[in-house]
Amino acid sequence: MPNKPSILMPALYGGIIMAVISAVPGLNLLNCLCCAGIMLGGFMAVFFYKKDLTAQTPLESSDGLKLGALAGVFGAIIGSILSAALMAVTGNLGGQLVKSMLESSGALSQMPPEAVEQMEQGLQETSLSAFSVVISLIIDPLFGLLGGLIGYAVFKSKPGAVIPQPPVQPPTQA
Amino acid sequence: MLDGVLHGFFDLRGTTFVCSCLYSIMRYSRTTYLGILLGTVTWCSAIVLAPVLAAQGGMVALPAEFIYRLFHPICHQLQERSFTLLDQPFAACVRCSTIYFAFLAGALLYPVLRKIERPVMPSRVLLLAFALPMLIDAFPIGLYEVTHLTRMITGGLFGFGLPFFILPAAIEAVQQMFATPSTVSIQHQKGLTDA
Repeated sequence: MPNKPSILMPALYGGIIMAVISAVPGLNLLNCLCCAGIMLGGFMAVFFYKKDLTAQTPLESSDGLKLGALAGVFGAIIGSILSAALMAVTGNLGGQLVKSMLESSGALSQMPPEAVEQMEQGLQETSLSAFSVVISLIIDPLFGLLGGLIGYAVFKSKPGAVIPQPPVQPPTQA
Repeated sequence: MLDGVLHGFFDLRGTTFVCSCLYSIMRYSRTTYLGILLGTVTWCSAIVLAPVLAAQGGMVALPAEFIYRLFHPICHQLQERSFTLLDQPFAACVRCSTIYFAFLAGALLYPVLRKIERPVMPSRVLLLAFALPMLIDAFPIGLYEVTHLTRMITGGLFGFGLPFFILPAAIEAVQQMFATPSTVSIQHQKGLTDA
């Protein structure tokens, strides 16, 4: 069996996608759809890995699992750094964005006062807590793994697909 | 006679090896399935447990605070878009809660519709069919009014279909990583049932 390519770089690319989606205000709302952003990172890691594979090294489900989980670890680390940097520069822009969306839709006036107060407190937070980093390290690999498995389900070779054999070089006569 | 005994011995050894492989596969398949099921039950319990604990107040509400914060990065948790229990919102919104509970229902039904030891992957077109209604509902284009009911129907469809892709892939992955040389590979199929 030929050696398979390393999963490190595809997982890193997937992790970067995950981190950008999780950290950029507005874009991180995608995660409100059942962690779609995080799962997309795991999914894309499988996509990048699939590009490196040859016919002799088919994509396996364990590849999807490992890629998704590793992309999640990268995503959590890079995402936390990126979030902290963005928060330091722009403040809690994501929270402000959600608040303005709620205000424009009229939902904020219908919210109970304690919920609004809690939101205001959240908006004052301009640094990343250790707790949220730990949460990311749990959630991102978990949902990244699911994304990796979905990626495997999508990018897996169809059964019965003909594997092209490498051309055989005729022996040269001395 | 010696030939017969030797043939029988090797045949028996072969059978033992095959039995051992099959046992290993069955053991890992079921353990993987049960692990995922247990994880899903815990996850869904946390969603319901949060409002119950929060309603008690005092020290009991501290674990509820942890659960709400756990779900915060992955759900907007808007109160008007969440189920409530004892006047407290679930840890996840209507759509997310329905996805998780439908995933649990799909995972519970999985052994009825599929053989755990023989992972079979449905057609990838079905994955799109499960996901598309939810995507249309989540990013509405004004075709219809998005309500709790539409969120539940579309989220439920997606959540219910997901285990039929996740479980066979996860079972096969664990077999590949931990079991003795695997004799089982995922097969593709058009429908959801083995029949």
